Amino acid sequence: MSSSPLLEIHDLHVHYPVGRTTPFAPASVLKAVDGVDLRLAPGETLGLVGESGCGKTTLGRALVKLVQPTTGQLRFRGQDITRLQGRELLAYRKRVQMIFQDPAGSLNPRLTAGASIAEPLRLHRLTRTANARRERVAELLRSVGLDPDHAQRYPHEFSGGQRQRIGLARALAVEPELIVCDEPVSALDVSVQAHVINLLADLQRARGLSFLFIAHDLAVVAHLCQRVAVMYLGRILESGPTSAVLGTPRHPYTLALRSAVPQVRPKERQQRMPLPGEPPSPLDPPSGCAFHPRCPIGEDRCQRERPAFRSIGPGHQVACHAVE
Amino acid sequence: MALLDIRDLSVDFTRDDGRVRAIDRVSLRVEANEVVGLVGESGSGKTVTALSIARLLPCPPARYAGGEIELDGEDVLKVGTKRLSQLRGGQISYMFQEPATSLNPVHRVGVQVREMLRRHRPALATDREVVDWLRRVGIPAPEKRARDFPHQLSGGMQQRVMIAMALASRPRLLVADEPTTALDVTIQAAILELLRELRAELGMSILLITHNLGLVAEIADRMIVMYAGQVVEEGPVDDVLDHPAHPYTRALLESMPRLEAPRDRLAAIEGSVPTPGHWPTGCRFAPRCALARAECRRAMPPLERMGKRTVRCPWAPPTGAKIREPA
Repeated sequence: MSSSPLLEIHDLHVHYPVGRTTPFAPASVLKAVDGVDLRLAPGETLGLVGESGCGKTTLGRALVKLVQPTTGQLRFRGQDITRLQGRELLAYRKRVQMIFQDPAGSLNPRLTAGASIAEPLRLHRLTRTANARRERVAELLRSVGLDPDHAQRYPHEFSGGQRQRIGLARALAVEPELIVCDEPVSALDVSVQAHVINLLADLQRARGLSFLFIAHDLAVVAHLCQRVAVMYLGRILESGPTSAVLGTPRHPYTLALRSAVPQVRPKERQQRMPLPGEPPSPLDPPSGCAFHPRCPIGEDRCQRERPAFRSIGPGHQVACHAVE
Repeated sequence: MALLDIRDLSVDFTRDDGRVRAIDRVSLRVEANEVVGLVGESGSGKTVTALSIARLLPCPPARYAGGEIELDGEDVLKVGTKRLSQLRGGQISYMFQEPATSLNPVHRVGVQVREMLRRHRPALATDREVVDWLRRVGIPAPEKRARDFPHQLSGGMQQRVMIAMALASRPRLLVADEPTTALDVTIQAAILELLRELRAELGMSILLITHNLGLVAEIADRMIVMYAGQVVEEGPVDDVLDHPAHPYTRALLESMPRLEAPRDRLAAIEGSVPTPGHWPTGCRFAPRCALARAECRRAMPPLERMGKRTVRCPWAPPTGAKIREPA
């Protein structure tokens, strides 16, 4: 991927101060994102997977500037966007949008679907007249497979899948280059989920959109994404082409994650690699490699040294001492 | 004799706009030491069916409109309230999707496990037995954890406490309603493994309610697929998943993205699951079914026995083979 990237994340840290546990204890810091390097090419769908609490949502929010990075750099089309403010921030948000997991919670219940979709149009002054706005809203509703007449309805009148489509139409209103999708289908039923996944794939193909697709469901990620990054305790442990990362995972954590997915076909079932324990608290991350306390192949070195994130194949990177 | 035998159960709900049927003549059996998966999307009636077994539905608005629920030879719909509270937690236990809302936030978890023992096996209601159970469900440092409040435990640990509570009374049947849906896959795998071990050790039966066909494939012996308040297919898990006979089961499988067998495009099912009160006449899946013909929309097809399976579709193939395209 040598062409100029759409988005570059360089050594990004997002730390949250958390209160003292006792009056004289030192104030602690939660490292939600702890040194992440990632690139996203134009028109690419990058999957970001990991267990709850690994920092994937915080990373997504940092990209749309909903949280401020502590240190590190974000570049969008070569421009440093780490500390954007005011007018420049508004301009950036026209190029990067986000859709959320809970489609009901991310729509204002007192606005009609049409009004919600029209809001970004108004904010960014993309339509001059009310008529033009109405037409654009109708067109957006059609593009996500909804009836333009639905513009008059309120969120509670829609099903979960339809609400997610409204959220998507709202994100598409500004014709962004990148959409950060935070678990957009995990709250949906299987048959509804399939429609939304197909819609996302179609939009990506038709408009050359880029997606950062945050999910915990590896099958959905394998289906939609060209590349995958695996996150654990605020760090990326493995990233690369989907076929490599999920097909022939190299990091022991990716292996374990993949083998934990229940398979429908008994023949496809593979040897399960059990993971002892649970992810440690990000307030008190282990020394060295964050994964070492649960790692089946950990060595002495893993407790002391944090493994570098290095290349092991075309576009395939791993942070593990044991991988050749 | 089956441990649980539900025959032709119908449940209605009273709403402002009248009475609607939520499940319609559902029949379901769970044998001793058997794991049965009950699968369906939202609105299929799987949770209403599950809650009916111990009469956990509030009446009103719910009303048992017909049928029988036989648990270990007793008709649950006819027993008195005293016997009912012995059955609940005694013969049949439940675990639900969100352990955080099922546990009492103001009591230590050890106290909550002991409460189950006190009610159903008073001779064993000791701290030692409580700690033993917490150890058995894989909670590290159980003596310490027994004194924790639910919010001090992770979701996976809370679900383990729920399992300890559900099983401490040694019920014959565990009804697990989406027990791992809120958990990460690695934790889910560990909970599944635990349920599998405990089932073998205690010889209990499990009715697993889920929308996740992968989970069912992992742990169940038999599965039942529900759609719009009815059973549409039932049979051994590997048969049903390898050769789904009902068009809905087949469509459901084809609409799932698969890790091991990626495909270009998901075969999404058109339309949505009809909600109670809006069920069409004839076959309820017909409006969304690619194989539906005129007669499907006129009369409800009966559940028919086909070898080891029962299927509610006259066009279903006998076994294996591709579904017959209607002429």
